[in-house]
Amino acid sequence: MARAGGITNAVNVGIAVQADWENREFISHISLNVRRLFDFLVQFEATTKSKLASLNEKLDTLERKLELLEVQVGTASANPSLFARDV
Amino acid sequence: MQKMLSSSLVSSAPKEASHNDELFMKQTVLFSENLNELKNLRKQLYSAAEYFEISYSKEDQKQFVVETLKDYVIKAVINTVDHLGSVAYKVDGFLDEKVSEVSEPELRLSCLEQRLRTCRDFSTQRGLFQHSFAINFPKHHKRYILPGGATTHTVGQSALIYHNAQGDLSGTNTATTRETSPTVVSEEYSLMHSPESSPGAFQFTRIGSKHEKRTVSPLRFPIPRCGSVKRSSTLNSSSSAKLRYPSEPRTRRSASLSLYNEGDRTKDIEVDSSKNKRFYKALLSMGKSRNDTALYKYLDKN
Repeated sequence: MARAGGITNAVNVGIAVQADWENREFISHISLNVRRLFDFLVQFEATTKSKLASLNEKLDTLERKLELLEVQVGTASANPSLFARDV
Repeated sequence: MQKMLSSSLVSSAPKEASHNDELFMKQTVLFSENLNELKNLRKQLYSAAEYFEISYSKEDQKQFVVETLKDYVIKAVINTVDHLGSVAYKVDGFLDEKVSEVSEPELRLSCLEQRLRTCRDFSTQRGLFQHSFAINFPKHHKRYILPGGATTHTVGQSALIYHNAQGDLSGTNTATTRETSPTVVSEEYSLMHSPESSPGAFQFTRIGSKHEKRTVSPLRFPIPRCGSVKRSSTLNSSSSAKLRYPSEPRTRRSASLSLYNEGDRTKDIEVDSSKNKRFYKALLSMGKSRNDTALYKYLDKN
C-alpha cells in the first residue's frame, strides 16, 4: 500500500510539474507576444513621428514660400511701373 | 445633351462629396471607438487580474480558474493586437493622405514660383532690350581713304574740295602749286581738263599709276598754297601777285570760288546760246527745204 501511495504521489508531482511547465510556456508565449506588441508600438511611434516631422517640414516650407510670394506680389502691386512698360 | 451631362455631373459631385463625408465620419467614429477601447483595455486587464487572483485563492477548482484565465489572456492579447493594428493602419493612412494633400499645394506653389521667375526673366530681358535702345551709339561718317594717304569725310565734301582745287588752279598760277607738289598739280590738271570730262563735272578716273604718287590731298591745298603765296610774294614780283590776287589775301579763296562760278556760268550761257542758234537754223532750213536731216542731226547730237 505504501508503494502504491508513493507511486501515485510521484505521478501527481509529475503531472503538476508538467502543468507548471505548460503554464510557464504559456506565460512565455504571452510575454513574447506582448513584447512584439511593444516593439510594434515603438516602431509605429517612430514612423509616425518621422511622417509627422516631414509633414510639418513641408507645411513650414509651404508657409514660408507663401509668405515670400505674398511679399513679392505685394511689392509688384505696390510698384505698377515695373509692369506698365510691358503694356 | 451637354446640359444634361453638366447637370448630372453637378448633381453627382455633391452626392459624391456627401458620400465621402459620411464615410469619413464613420471612419472617424470607429477610430475614436477603437482608441477608447484601447484606453479601457488597461483597466479591464487590471480588473480581470484581480478577479482571477481572488477566485484562485477562494475556489477549490483552481485548474478551471487557470484555464479560464488563459483563455481570457489570449482573447485580450488578440483583441489588443487587432485594435492596435486597426489604429496603426488608420493613422498611417491618414498621415499618407495628409502628405499627399500637402504635396499638391507644393506643386502649385512651385508652379507659381516658376511663373514668377519667368515673369521676372521676361521683365529683365525687356528692360535690357529697352535699355539697349536707349544707348546712343556713336555715328561714324563715311571716310574714303585716298591712295595718297589723305582722307576725305564724305563724297560731297571730296567733290567740293576738288572743285575748290579746280577753281584755285584755274584762278591762280600753277607755278605756285608746283612749288609744293608738282606731280599732284599736273595730275589734277590733267584730270580736270581732259577732253572726255564734261565741264563742271568731276570724274574719279585714274591715269595709270600716277595716283599712287599723289602725296598731298586736296584738303591740304589751302595750307601749302598760302605758304606758296607767301613765298611767291617774296620771290616773285609784286605785279604778278597783284595780277593773281587783285583783292585782299583774306578774301582770296572766296574770290577764286566766285571767279570759278562766274566762268562756269558764262560757259553754260555760251553753250546754250550756240545750241539755240543751231536749233533755230535747223527749224528755218526745215521750213524752207522740208528736209528734216538737219533737225535730226541736231537731235542726234543732243
